[in-house]
Amino acid sequence: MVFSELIFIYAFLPLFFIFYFLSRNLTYKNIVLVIFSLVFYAWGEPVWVLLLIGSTLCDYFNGLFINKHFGTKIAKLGVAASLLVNLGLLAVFKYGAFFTETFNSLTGLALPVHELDLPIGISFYSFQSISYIVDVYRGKVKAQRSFLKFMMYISMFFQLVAGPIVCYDTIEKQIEHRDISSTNFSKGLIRFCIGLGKKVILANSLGALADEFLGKALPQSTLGAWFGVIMFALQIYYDFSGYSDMAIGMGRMAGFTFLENFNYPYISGSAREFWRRWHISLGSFFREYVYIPLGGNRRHKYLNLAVVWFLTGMWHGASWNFILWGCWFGILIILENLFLGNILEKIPKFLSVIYLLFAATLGWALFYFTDLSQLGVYLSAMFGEGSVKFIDELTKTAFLNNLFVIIIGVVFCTPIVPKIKSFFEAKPERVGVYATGQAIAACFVLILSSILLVGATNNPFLYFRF
Amino acid sequence: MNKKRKINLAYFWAMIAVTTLLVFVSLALALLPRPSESELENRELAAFPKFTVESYLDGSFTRDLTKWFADTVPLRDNLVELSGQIKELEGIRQDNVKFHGNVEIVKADDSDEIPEVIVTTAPPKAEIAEADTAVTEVLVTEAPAVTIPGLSETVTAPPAEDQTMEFDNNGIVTVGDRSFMLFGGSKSQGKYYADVLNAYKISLGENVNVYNMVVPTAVEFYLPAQYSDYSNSELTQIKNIYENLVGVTPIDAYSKLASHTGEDIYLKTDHHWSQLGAYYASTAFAEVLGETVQPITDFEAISRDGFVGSLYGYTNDIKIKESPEVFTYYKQPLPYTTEFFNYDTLTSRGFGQLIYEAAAVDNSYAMFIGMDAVHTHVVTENKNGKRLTVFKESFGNALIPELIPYFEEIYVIDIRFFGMNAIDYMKQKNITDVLFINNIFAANTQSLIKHIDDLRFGSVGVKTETIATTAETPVTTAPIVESVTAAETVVAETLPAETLPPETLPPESSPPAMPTLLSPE
Repeated sequence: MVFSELIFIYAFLPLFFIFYFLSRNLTYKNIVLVIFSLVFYAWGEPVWVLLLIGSTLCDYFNGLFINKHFGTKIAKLGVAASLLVNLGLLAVFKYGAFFTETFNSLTGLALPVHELDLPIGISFYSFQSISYIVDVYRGKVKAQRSFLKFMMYISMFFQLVAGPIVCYDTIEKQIEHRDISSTNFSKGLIRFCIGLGKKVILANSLGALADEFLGKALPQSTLGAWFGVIMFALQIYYDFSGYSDMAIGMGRMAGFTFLENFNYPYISGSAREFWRRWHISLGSFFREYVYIPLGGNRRHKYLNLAVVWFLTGMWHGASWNFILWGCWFGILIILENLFLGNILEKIPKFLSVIYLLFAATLGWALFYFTDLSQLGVYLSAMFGEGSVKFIDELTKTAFLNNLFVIIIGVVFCTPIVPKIKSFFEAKPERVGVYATGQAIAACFVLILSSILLVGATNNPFLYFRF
Repeated sequence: MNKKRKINLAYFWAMIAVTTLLVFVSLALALLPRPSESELENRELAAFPKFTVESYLDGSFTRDLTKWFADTVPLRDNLVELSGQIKELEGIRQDNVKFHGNVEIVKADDSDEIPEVIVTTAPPKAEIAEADTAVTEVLVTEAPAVTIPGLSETVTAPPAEDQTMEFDNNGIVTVGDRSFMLFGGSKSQGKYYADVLNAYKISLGENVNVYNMVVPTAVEFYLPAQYSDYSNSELTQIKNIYENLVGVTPIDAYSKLASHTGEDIYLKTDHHWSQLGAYYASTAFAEVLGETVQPITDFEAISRDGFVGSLYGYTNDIKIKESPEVFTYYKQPLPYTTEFFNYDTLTSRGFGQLIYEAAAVDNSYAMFIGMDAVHTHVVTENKNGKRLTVFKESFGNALIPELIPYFEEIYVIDIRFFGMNAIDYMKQKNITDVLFINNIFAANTQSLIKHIDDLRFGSVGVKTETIATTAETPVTTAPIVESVTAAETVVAETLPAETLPPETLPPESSPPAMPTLLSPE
């Protein structure tokens, strides 16, 4: 099930909250949340739900084991076992075919390649498990003694399949004490509706447009090629940040506070800043559990950066283009650390933003094409090489046919909403107006999205691939 | 503190508002009756899935349940229309043009490699009469000699394309109140089509005349010049087919249509031509036959308002819905009888009307010859001894009434539904003339050409199975079936909900179904 499905919004979600709020104490609430989460997961993965439960059990016992032997060398065994299981599952399910193919092409052998279907969300929940295990080992958090609570942490359907990656320490307290209030419920619900709108109203339309241009064997024109990839940049932002909004919103309705995952990435002035604003939970994970353990800024910093960005790219998919994409950002960030950052700080802000937008847009072209030869054709069209025209009629028509969606898409990439919010929250008498406005906007977006969902048939989330 | 309380109160009311909406819609979706078919899209909606252990384990149960929930929303058709209106607000139309689907620049594919010739095991060996290449001037300006040495019962192998890939459809464009599909044809497919027809000629022998009419579509005449990069020239592809014919007489419908583009020869909201267009095409056939052309004024013209055709369902473009057109049909004054047969058993379903006037307005094109899924036999009072078989897809339907003056009997075979050995069948019926009439999209669709080829051997006798196994597929002609059974004179038994062969259906997962011209009317 995905969040932008009518059956989710109007059947699953209401039923969940009815049972959740009818439950008198926390244990019942937790049971309801786990049951609904497993149903949610089994909806899409009727078989691999067992894998989810199995790997969770494994990490649960590893956590207890590490806790028991805390501070001794034996504790390392628990960490190793957990990493083996979680990374092993990722290696087999996500990268198995990729590794074999790469190995075959390097050695000239012809080992059989088994394409396995990637269990939904495995990239997200295995990272959550790893963060938990490492934090227990470091003594940052206590191991969770209740399997129910641990299962709930891993399987919560809000963030189970497409993030954000919720590190255990950020919600450790909320597992025991949840701040359930009408204000939280209200704000969470509004957030959910807005996220739904980002997905259904903006990402779906922009995505159809992007596919129209990127999906062709040959780009229609240079401007058309840029247009396509810019539409993709907007689509992936609204798609993914919309999903995160929905997750954070539902969490808030249930009394959880998840950390933000996006913070207007397209106003960044450097690649470093972009990654502090884009998919924040992933960046934090790699910083906390890869970059710093490798030595961080203190020891062979640039090697560490290279490793982190290689892995970040690879996390996004078992294909060379994702690795290229990660390396592209890795190179930019290394350059920014060396000298580029100083320059970017000195030039006017709008120039550094243009630099970032150019870099990110090029990045999205790498991200889109899993077929590298197609990528080559597309990139050369973007830079006016070959026989493509500069502009074609289709690009003009498509731009005009979707003009208002594009304008709205661009405007909401900027922090216009926080500006409006701070204006209204500056004076007490304006606060009611803002809340009312939000409620009206949420209702409007919910109705509009629902109608568009009836009108459409197919809108899978982009980030499900990962 | 006062501020805090104020905020909480404001959000309390916000919660009440949004929650009420959510609960209200949830209850409506849970309690209101759900539709089972869509008039708008002319299809049956997703059915509630059956739970079995297998369907659960392979994920199809939950997938189908999700689909059912979304597909059968109460008031669905109204909401879909509303969604179309919202979509219209997404931008503006310059020169009233809007593109739908995946449109690309199509390069004239002169470089197309003609695939190797593979000898098929066609049983009959016959001498071919000298190829009749009397194509009218307009079509063959630089006609090469079409004597292919050693061409016997050989058919070009289908080009090695992915079977699921359809060349034909290059998206749909709306220009003002007229919409049509863009054409991306291929020469190799055209050669294949011609070769298959040539093989028919060989199998049928010298004494049977074989004719071929390939019909251009609206895009050829109504696409504004600045968009010409996005649609291939249909004329080029038709010429290519005609140049490859050996022993098969081409019928130049193109020139006739091209000289009447100021009239309503194509439907504006539907992917078909109009009966008027079919009439002009029939005059080209009559001329080749050496017959006096029956004037259009002989026919009784009847118009019905408010027709919105298939292209609205395909694009959900509200502008199409908002500009309904006049659908005009022409009743043949000459006397004749029409009998319908089942394709699989060839048993009679009784006599009926060649033009079924009670068809619902939005199904107007379905009024011709009953429907695609029945075999139609017309007997006229003409005693010239000429018995015609027409091989057609739905474009041919509107042509049949205009052929009545020229033949004694007409057997109509839909190339998608007939499953027997067509050669044996025609021999048994003492057929003297054969007409292949297909639109250029169909004549460029590999799966369909293969089907025509297979009919020579009767190896496609699987129609009943096809129909049974695809019963749950969305594209059905159910409403048409109803209307046919409603006519008192017609069909004795109830027709099953028939569907197209699976190869003409869009892949299941594809978003808004972009049709080929073979979609049901």
